[in-house]
Amino acid sequence: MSEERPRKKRPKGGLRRWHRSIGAVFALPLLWLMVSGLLLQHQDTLGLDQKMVKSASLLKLYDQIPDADPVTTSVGRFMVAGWGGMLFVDDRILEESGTLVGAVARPGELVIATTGELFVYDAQGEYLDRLGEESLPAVPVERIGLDESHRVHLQTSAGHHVLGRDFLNFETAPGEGAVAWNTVEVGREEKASLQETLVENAGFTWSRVITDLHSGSLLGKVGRFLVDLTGIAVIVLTLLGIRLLFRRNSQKTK
Amino acid sequence: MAATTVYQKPSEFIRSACGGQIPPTRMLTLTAVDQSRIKRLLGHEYRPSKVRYWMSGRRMVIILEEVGKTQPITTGYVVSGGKIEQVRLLIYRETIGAEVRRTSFTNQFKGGTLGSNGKLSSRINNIAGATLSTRALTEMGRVALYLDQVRPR
Repeated sequence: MSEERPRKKRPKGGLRRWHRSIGAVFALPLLWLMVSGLLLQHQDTLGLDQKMVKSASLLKLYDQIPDADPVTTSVGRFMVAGWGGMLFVDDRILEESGTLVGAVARPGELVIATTGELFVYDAQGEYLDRLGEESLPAVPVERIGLDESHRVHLQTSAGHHVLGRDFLNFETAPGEGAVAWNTVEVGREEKASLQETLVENAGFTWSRVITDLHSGSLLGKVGRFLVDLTGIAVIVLTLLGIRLLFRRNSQKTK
Repeated sequence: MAATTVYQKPSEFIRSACGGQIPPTRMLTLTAVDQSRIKRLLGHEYRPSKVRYWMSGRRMVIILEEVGKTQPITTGYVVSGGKIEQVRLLIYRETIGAEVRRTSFTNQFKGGTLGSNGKLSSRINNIAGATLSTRALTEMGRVALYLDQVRPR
């Protein structure tokens, strides 16, 4: 005669408790995934790929707005600024980039010096010319100045040079003479208006933000890990749910 | 921001193409007609209104910049007798596509001329994954040939 083996006693409602706890913990991340997924699904209808992000804090997350303070200098009627490698003339972002060293205004021309290049603009701020490392005495450029005859002076690691009228050549400056060296200053006051310019020109659509929210990458590694964890939680919840369903069905049959 | 890779300093490129020294810089001021022709060759506005170049005998050396995807690619061209003699990628700032620096790619430009239709006579094969950089170097090649045609003699 075979004796019936005693069945292992399972804690009553164990699976159900797990199902409930996991569901409660991951309810919010799941909601976040579902809402962002729905928004992405209908981004064309909602115009998310056309609507631009105008939030400075969001743009900071995307490194579109630098953390450090900008540096500025006033030359002639222009306010030249450098911020996080970007260059500005008044409230306009220039296509050229680099670390701003200084600027000088000659009659009809604005010359902006970065550590590696010089950029020349006309009186309206239109781009005229670029002097790269091949056209300069040396790089990095340390400072830029102007003498009484409106000649541009440069201080580099190779010494003090004066550029020719058309910037086609340069020669060693005879002496310090009466050079008005331009200096840049930390522009805390201009920061707000520059930030506004960056926000206006950011070109970041809400579609990208929602995509990054959905994938978690907006919050970096932590966000991606959270999305992974939520995905795993959904799998576990599904398996637990199926198990609970089968158990209830078998109990009903008995 | 993408990392900048300097394969050769522009000054070194000019020196190597001009027999060891940098000749006097020359400048070409672009007229409205030039700007319009260049716009057709590039497919967009060309911002500088002045272009610097260097002469070594009949050879014109020019450094051009064109945006690949988001960053400018700095390339050196040597043009002689209306034909491209040498192309060298000098500074690359994009994250992908730097394969265009390979001589197997840049050698394709050798002997290329500018056709009346604004196209290069030599066929430039695309590099997979570097389509935009290939396009940028090809467009700059066309501009270099055009500038050689219009520079003062």
